Amino acid sequence: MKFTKQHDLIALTLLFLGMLVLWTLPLQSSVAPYGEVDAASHYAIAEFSYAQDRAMSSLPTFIDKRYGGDNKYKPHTLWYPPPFHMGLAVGSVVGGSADVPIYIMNSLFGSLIVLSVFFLLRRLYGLPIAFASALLLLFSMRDILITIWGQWPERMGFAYLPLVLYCAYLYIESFLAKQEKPRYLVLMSLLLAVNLFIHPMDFFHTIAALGLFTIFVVVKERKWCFNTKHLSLVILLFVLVVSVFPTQTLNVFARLGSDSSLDQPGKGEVGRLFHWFSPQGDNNGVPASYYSYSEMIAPSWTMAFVWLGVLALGLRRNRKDLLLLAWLVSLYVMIHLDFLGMGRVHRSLSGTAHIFYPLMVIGVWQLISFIPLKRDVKPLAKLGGVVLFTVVMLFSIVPGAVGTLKDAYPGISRVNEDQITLTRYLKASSSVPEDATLLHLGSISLAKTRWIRTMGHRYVKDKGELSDYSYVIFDYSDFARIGRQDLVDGMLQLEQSLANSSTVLYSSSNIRVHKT
Amino acid sequence: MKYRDMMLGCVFMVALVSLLTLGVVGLRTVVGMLLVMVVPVYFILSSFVSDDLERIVFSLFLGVGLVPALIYWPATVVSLKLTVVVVALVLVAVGFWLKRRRSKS
Repeated sequence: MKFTKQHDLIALTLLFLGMLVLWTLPLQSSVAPYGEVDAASHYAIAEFSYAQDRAMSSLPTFIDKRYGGDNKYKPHTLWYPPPFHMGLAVGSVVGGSADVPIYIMNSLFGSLIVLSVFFLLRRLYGLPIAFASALLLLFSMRDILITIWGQWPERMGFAYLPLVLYCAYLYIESFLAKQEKPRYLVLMSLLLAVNLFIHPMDFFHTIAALGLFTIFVVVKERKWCFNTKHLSLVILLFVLVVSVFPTQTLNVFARLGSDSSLDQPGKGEVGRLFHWFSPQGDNNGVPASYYSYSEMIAPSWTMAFVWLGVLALGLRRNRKDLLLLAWLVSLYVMIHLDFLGMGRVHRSLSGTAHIFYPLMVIGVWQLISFIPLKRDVKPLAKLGGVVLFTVVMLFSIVPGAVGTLKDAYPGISRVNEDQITLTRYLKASSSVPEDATLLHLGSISLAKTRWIRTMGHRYVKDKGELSDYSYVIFDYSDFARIGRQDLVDGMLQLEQSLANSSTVLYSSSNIRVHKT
Repeated sequence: MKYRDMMLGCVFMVALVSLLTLGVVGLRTVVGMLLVMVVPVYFILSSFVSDDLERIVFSLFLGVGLVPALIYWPATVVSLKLTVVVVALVLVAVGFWLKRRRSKS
C-alpha cells in the first residue's frame, strides 16, 4: 500500500489532536494549577512575566529567595535559558490569561516527542510503524507522570533528539552519496541550540546519540562522514545561537563543575552494567512503580518484541538501523553514568519509552516478514500485524494513562478557592511587602505552600518557628475540607496566643494573615 | 484535494477541537501559538525546505524554541505583548521577503 504526503498530514494532525485532548485532561477536570514543587517554579517564571508584561532579567524576590543560587554562573538570574518559560508566557499572551494557557502550552510542549518520533520513523520505516509507535507514545505513563509532576522542560527537551538524528542522518546520506545537503547541518545546529535552551540534560542525551551514530557510520563505512568546512561553520552557528543567553549557557558548565550528585553509590560496580536500571539512594519521592517496565511502558511480554526489534536492527545494520541502535545505546550509556559515579540517572530513565515503542513495532513488523507468505500478501500481513499489536497494546496501556491524567491532583491536592483568594490578596497587598517571608501554617504539603508562594508573588514557607516570622498565614481551609477538627482546634489555640501581639491583615472564613 | 487546502482543513480541525475541549481560552492559545510561533517560521522555511512534512515539523519545533528566544531580550525592555506581535510580524515579513527574493533569482 502506498502512502502519500496527504496520509502523513492526516496522521500528524490526528496525533496532535490526541496530544491536545489527552494531555490536557488534568486541566479539563479543574483549572486550578497542579504539580509538585518543580511545576510551581516553572509556572512562576511564565506567570510573573505575563503578569508584569515584561520578561524577567533578574529574579523577583519570591523566586530569588529559593532559586537565586541555582544559576551558579550568575546568581539571582534565570537558571534555565529563557525560551521554554517565554514560550509558556507567549501562550498566556495569546490566550489572554495566565493559568489555563500555561498548562495548555505545557501539555503540548510535554508531548511533542510524539510528533518527533512519528516524523523520524515515518521517514526511516514508513507510515504504519511511525503512526503505531507515536500512538503508543501518546499513552506513555512515564512521560505522563513526569509532566504532571512538574519536570516540564525535561519532557520537552527529549523531543529534539529524534529530529537532530534525522538531520544528521540525511546529511550523512547526502555526503556519502557525494550530493551534500548542508542545509540539514544548519537545521541540526539550530535544533541542537534549542535543545540546549530547553534542557541541558536532554541536550547531552542528544549529543551522546549523535556521537554514537557518527561512530557507527564511520566504522561501517570506514570513512569520515562530514565535510569539515561545513561542520566547522555549523559549530560556529551553534555557538553563536547559544551565546544569546550567556549566563544560562555558562551555568550549564558551572553546574557540571560543581555537581553535588557526583560520587553516587554504586560507582565502579561492574554488576550495574548488566542491569538496565538500579535505583540510587537519593531517589526519594519517586514511587517504586516508576522503575517498573510493566507499569510504565507496557506488559512484560512486550519486552520480547523490544529484543526482536533490536535483533532485527543489529542483523540488518542499514544506516537507518544504526541510527536507532545509536539512540538505544546512548540511552544505555546515560542510564549507566552512575557506574562512573555521575549524574541523577533516574531522570534519564524518562527517555526509555521513546525508543522502546518503536523497537517493539519494528520487532512485530520484522517477525511477520520472517513468515513465509506470498509476496503480494506480505505487506498486508505486516500492516495487519502492526495494527493488531497496537490495538492489543492500547487495551493494556490506555486505561492507566487516561485514568492518571483524568484523576491528576484531585480535591485538596490543588490550591482551593480560599487559597486562591488569599493569593490574590497577597499579590496586590501593600501591607505585605514584596520582600516579606511568610510562614504558612496549615499546609498539607510543601507543593501547596509553593503554589501559594507562586500565585501570591510572596515568599511563603511551610515550616519554621513562629517567633522567626513577622507574617504568619493561619490556613484552616484544607483541614476543614478533610474534616480534621482536631488540627483546626490546635491551630486556633496557637492563633489565639498571638491575639495580643499581632495585627490581622487579612481575614476570610478559613484563612487569616497576621503581622506579628 | 490540494495539499494546502488540506493543511487549512487540519488547522480548522485543531481549532475546532481546541474550542470544544478547552473553550475560548483553549482556542485562543492553540491558534495563537500556531500563528505567532509556527506560521512565521513556516514562511521562512518555505524558501529553504521543499518537503512538506519537513517544513511543518521543523516550523513547529524551531518555532516553539527560537521565537520565544527572539522575544525574550526585547521584552525585558518593552511590553511583552507588544514584542510578541512585533516579532511575529517581522518574521512573517522576512519570510515573504525571502520568498520574493528567491522567486526573482
